[in-house]
Amino acid sequence: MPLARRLATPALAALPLAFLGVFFVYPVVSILALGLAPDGVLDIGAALGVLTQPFVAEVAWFTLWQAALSTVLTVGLALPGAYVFARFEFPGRRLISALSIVPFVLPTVVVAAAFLALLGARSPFGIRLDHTIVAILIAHVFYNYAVVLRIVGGVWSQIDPRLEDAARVLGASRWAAFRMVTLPLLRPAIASAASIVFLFTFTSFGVILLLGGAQFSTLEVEIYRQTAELLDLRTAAVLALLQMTALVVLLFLYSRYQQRNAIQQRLLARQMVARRPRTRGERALVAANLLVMALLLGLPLLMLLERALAVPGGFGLGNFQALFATTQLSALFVPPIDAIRNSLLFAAACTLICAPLGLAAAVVIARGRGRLASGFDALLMLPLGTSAVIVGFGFLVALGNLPIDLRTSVILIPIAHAIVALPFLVRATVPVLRSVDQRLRDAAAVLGASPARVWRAIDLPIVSRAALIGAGFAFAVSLGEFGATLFIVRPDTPTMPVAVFRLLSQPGALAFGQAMAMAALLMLATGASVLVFDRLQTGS
Amino acid sequence: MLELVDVRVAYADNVAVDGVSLTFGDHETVALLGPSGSGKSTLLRAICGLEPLAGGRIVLDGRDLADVPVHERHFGLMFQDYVLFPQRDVRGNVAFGLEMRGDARATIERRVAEVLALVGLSGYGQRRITELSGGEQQRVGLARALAPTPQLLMLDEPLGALDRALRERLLDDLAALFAELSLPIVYVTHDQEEAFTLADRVVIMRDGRAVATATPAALWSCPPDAWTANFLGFHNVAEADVENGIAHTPWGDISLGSALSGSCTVVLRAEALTLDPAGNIHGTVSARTFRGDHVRVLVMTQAGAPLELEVRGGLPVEIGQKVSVAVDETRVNVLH
Repeated sequence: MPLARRLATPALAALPLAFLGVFFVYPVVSILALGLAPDGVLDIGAALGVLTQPFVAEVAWFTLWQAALSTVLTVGLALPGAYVFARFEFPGRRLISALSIVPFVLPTVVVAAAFLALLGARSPFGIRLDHTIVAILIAHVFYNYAVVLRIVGGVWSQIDPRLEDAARVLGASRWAAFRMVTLPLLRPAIASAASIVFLFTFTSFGVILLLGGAQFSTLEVEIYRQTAELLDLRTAAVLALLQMTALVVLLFLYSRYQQRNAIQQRLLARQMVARRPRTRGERALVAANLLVMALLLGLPLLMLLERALAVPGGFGLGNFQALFATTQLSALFVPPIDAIRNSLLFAAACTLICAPLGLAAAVVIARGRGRLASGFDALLMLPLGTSAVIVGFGFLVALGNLPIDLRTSVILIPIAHAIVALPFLVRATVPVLRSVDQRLRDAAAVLGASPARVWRAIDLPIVSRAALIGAGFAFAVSLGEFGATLFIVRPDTPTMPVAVFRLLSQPGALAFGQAMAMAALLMLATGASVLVFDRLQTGS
Repeated sequence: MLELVDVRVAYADNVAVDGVSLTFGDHETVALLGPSGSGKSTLLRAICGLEPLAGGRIVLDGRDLADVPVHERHFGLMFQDYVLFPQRDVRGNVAFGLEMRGDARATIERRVAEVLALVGLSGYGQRRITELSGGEQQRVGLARALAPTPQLLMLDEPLGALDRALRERLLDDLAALFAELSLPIVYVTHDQEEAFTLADRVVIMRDGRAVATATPAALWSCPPDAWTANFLGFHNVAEADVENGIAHTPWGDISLGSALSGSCTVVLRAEALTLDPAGNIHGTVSARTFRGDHVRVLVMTQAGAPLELEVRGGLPVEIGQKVSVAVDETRVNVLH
């Protein structure tokens, strides 16, 4: 192999590694240092002193049980949905399936705003559930429903329905056939989906902060409060350590479980399996499930739009026009419209940073085999496993010590977004890159194409599509990023999610209307972009 | 005794099984023979209760099964490609029906060993399903269906997924096994050889209907209609007008040896035809294929229709050669 080719892969890997090293590993190490050795000497006792304060146990316990309960509720509600989508064909099935993913990709502030519109003080239905655990749980189910629907439904649709038929003929009742045949085959998928839901709700930040009010605090929220409200970076660092430890343990348990549970089974193509509902019971099940989805997933988003368009005495664009206005005593120091401009600029910058890095990393992973490549892959996934709040907090703690003090620079925000977006981008692009069939290249070569022609004809179109998808992901993630941004944002350059958060924490109809309008814009932007990428990724 | 009375199964807008009435005797093996899409597998599923009936009744020993759910029918069904439970080993698959019945553990173990011995898989209990060959999976599927001693055994294309050599061996095994079991058996296949080897009675299925029922011998010697004759592999099937015992067929005039008149379907089976210079059908050899013990020869007759025959012995035939074909009038089938 020529030297240039041999050096190409390490060179491609070097850039993302260096970026992660400076902007992720270093901040995390700084948190460790601040938590365990605040004065340069290791002081475990002090860290333990923080951890044994009664409020820590309270926060940790709340974090744990709300995540567990959210997971149980989400799985319980989404399993029937997974069954319906796996087994039945009905009008609008594909569209509803595509739309169901929208809540999952919405920025947390949008979700929180939508539920405040539905259940908050200005709800047209007069239900007051904000500042209750119920609102938090419903929002978590809303958020993660699609995770279970997609993961479990995907596996379910590939399980031969005749397995249950076989069990039935052998004397198993409907329920026994499900419990003894289908459930064991679904279990890894359910566990996988449940772990992801647990992870997301364990690290829930925006939803708790906005919907829960002051009395609910997860570890994430507490890290933010200690930092921003109490200015106690030490305590925050120790909490961050606790959070990271918990996540490492969770991820470890999860991967061990997944390894043990690979059941070999013959999978069928979905279209062989799904059929129209035939009996009255089946039709009722499909209808009931679609109703649940409409109420759970559709209604809050519709309410957000409705509240955004509601003006005194009817509907209009007043709230959107108000985005241009600065008001006295506003929690925002700038007109809300500036936040939109900021967000677009940050998202563009994030895309410029993240897309080349992510694409380079994805090429390395897609080409690579063996331990080195999978280690690289795992390293890139780390930010996903730590949570955005840790990223933001790490920036705050660490980046004052760099040769250039970046803390005052606005460039920090797109960099933080890039760290958060990188794992998503890599995950989205690797399958696209891997989709090039080697036989296509062989066929082109046999037909007389030179290696350069082969690359241009076969690889280039795929790589450009991967790049486009990656760029889109980076842009969408950046638009909605909240947890990390909140730590490093400067008062005069708010992003859209931060603006929604500030406006919602301010009393008055005007601020509420502005928040709804801004959240609606954010929802439309991210929702539309995700639907487009879904098409790009799966379409030919 | 199992009776099907005018059974209909319909999906959204197409009728899969259309008014089938059949009776299955207590120790009888009945083959449902038909091309794919003829509704035979659907009929099996309907008998099991896996497909809701759009009409008709299924009656077992005088009892209508309409309100008996699948799991209380105590039938055995062996699926096409077996559909074994992938998460259970061989023992776990075979034991499933026994567990559902609530048998004691010792009873289960005894019965599993017994059934595995019956299908020739003794000692395979701990094997994973994925470690088995196609033929072994087939036997596990059979053992699983037999273990809870069903009152009716149904097999859906049980040899369909296997290669030819294995199929022939298993066919003999199945014939021996069926003789040993004293059970009503319904055997679905598209392969006439399987049906004829195993069945006491063959039901021909076409477009969701049972179009003919007969013993294998009767069906072979006298197919009931042109479609069935074609399906059974007779290639020389044609409409003909008969005048005084002479049939005017597309191949030429053929004497039927009896003083019939009217229109009918004539089937010229291979054993009725020989190459004979004295024959009265003349034509040109247009194709020939070597088939081991015989050569299949296609003759384009002067009358303009292709005629297929089997030539045994070393008689050399060249493409383009002019030949004459003699018809043994005692072996011509005339269908009305």
